Amino acid sequence: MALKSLAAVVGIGGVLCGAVAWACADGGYETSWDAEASSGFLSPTNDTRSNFILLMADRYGTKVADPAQMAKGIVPFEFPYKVMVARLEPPAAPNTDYSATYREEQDAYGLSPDSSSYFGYDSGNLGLCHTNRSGAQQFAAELKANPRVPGQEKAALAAARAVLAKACDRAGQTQFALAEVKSLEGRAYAEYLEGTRLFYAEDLGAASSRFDAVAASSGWLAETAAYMRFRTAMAQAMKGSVGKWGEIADVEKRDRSAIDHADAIRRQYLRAYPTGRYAASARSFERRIAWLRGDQATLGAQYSTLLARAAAAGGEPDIATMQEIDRRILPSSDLAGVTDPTLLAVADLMRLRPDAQQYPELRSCCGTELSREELERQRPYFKSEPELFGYLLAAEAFFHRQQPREVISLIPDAAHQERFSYVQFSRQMLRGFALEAAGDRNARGFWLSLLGGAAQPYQRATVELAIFKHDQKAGAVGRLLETGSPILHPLIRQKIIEDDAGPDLLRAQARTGTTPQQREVALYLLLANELHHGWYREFLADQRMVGTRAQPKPGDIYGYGAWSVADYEPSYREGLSGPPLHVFANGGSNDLRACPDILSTATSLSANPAAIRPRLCLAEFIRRKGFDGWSDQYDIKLERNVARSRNGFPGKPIERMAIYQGVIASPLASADDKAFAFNRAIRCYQPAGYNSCGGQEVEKPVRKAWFDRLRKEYPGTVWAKELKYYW
Amino acid sequence: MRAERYDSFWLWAGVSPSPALQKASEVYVLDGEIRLGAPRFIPLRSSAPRTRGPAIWLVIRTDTTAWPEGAVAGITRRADGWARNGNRVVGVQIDFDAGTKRLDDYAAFLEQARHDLPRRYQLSITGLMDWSANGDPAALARLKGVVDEVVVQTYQGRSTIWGYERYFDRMKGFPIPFKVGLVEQGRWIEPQGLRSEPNFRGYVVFLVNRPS
Repeated sequence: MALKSLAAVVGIGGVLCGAVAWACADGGYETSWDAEASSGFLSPTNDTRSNFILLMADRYGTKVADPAQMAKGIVPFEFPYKVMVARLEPPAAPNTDYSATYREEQDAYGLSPDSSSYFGYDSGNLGLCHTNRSGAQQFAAELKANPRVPGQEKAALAAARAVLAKACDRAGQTQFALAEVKSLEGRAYAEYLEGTRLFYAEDLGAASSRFDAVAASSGWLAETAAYMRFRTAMAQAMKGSVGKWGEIADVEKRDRSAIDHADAIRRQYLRAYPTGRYAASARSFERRIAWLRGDQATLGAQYSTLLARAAAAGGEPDIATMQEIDRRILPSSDLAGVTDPTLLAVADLMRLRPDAQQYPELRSCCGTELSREELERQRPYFKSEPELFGYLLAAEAFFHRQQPREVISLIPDAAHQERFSYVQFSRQMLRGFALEAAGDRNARGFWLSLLGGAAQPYQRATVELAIFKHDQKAGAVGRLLETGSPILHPLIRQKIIEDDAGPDLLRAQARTGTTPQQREVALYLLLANELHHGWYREFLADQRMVGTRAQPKPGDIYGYGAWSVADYEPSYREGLSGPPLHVFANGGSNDLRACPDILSTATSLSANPAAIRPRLCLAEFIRRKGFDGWSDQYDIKLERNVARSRNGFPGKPIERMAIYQGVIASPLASADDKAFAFNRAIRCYQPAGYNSCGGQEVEKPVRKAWFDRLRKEYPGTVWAKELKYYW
Repeated sequence: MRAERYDSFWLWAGVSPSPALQKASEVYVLDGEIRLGAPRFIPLRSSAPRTRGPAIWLVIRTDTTAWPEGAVAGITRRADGWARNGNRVVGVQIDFDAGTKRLDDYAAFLEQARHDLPRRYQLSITGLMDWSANGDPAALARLKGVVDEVVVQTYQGRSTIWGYERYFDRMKGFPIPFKVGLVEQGRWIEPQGLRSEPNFRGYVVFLVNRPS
């Protein structure tokens, strides 16, 4: 069960703030929040399935992530459930032939080669074909071993089954030529075979009669026909439970008698063949029947039994069961029959998601909020899991009642560990959040002490993020880039470089940053900010660090890759690319119309910052090299973009509109410069009448007046001639 | 925004059909997905719909352009199956839910899909606002002639993305018929000028489950 939109959770106020990634750092546009979150610790804001994976890792030693996945790219802090699942598997070999895998699967279903296969269905998409191939193999073996079927009949029957084995999707059109099969036993096989065909053709009523007719025979055939009667009845029950939109209908609209009928036949089979070859399968269908009946208590008990089955340590967790529970138990949050502590914990955390009144969209899933009293009633089920229960008590205090001090007393400091389990880690994380919320002076020291034991997947990144957020609140993140910093995570380091580093720190990071990416980002931001703030001399000195750079080929519009932390999104990329430093290199800006490159422009401006043509050329560089909107930052409180100084550069950055207005007003500007300024200022509002150049907004009549002046006063200039409209 | 005021919807798997669907004129019904890793079709709907009246789009969610051979032919068969059930199937929508900056790759993929999909079905795609370099709709515009419509999603998860107004500024003159995807109960104030865009074709509302 996914928690949609964590962004809204961020608003819950100081208490929860600590618990979700960048959330409280600086606003909503920074991180793209995925709907279905996962993290390295148990949390109400995690996807329920992610909490399951963490808990199963503690319980059975199953994997949380594949070591090879953890070793490459950026380790995410908070990431969609599907990323968590993808990271459980070893990285795919390059050039994996997916079509081959697909063909293999198709073969297993026994589908016709030209049919586009399992995509096709005519009636209910009941997905019955999955047993076709294995059923055919059994049929062939039993037939071969049966002495009562004459040889030539065997050949005809085997050939007929082989046709179906290769074209389950064509069962409706298939006709068997079995007229020559005349022996009693042979006829029984033929009858069964026709039943099978009708079953796969989803002609369920007719299939059922055929299987009935075979029930009187003996051995494999009789048992298999009895089981197939159940499968057919089950398919009928599924068909009768489907609504107009192809969805599983509400419980009261399902065909209850078909469901009961299927269950009766299932029990009949099990009575006749309690240790039969399909007995395990028939028993497992109890779950599906309970689900169709809306019998939550039986479901809860069944899933509790399933979860109590130990999984192989070091292997992958039983994702299929977790997902089934997620679909069938958690939506109703009806936990009748549930005795399993893991399942209870997952459901409890779901019910600790934020307040229904304030965030209705987050609670469309989660049932009523969990109270302390209710949790206490669950205590007996957690007898074997006291640490987990203690965590839940503290989570209720923190997320539901927002009582950080209670959390601190519920969870003692156990920060110094060799290696945390996920429950132990989650307990200490929660204690840390509570210390932060209570304003405890030792909060930072506490976070630092967690690092030693944060050895399992995603744990270290989680602690580093907490340290970063602590220092950010304290206005002291700069120290996290110093030698000996506990922060190793490339994304945190880069975020500090992007948001918090002033000129000196940027310059230092450009030289000594821990990775090429961090050095490049620091240099890019340093140079861009120097230009935007009029520090031309410094720009020219620092520009030497750029060195020689390859320039993108003409037409390569994707030269500006995902380089910023804001571009990182674990669903789509493992890392970030370098910033477009090439724009500052020699040859990176000699394509500016009517202007020299940025180095000449900066040189002119360092001699005279008010020089008119160089100022226009600076604006041209800003326009052409991707710096429009440079000073925009989204302010979540104001719900709009604001211009503010970045990275400790004092003053407001230079904006294009201000340059144009200055030139328009200047008595010193030449006719050509004025015409150019008019042209560009008007184009700032292209195409939709909104200013893309920063600075003051100008009303439409003013833009019209500019256009009229350009046409009237400077008619001979190229700038007047090329501009046909204003916006 | 309130679903009752609209008449075109997405119906996703796991979302119970809401009363708003009763007077829908158009419904995008998620049928299944093709996922990166082991790309094969995974049905997400228990059965084919049986509707009369509304225009139906069969939606395939995917995060990969590496579709197995025959995938589009298979989808066509599913659409045909829906039509035989009495549904008025107008087209297929590909909901590409990976934020890709490699639109070149995607364009080639869609060209192939259009080639493989019979003309009796229109081809619709969803577009995320943060797609392509600098979220520039111009990149999407290059799909003119390949897709019949683009539905621009203005939300992520269940929340409207902040700053959507700026995106629509840049959609002025968008050359392909487009609709705007909204999330039920999300924040929505129609950007100025959107309604007068010649290719604007209205809204599609992504239905969500009501709080229990």
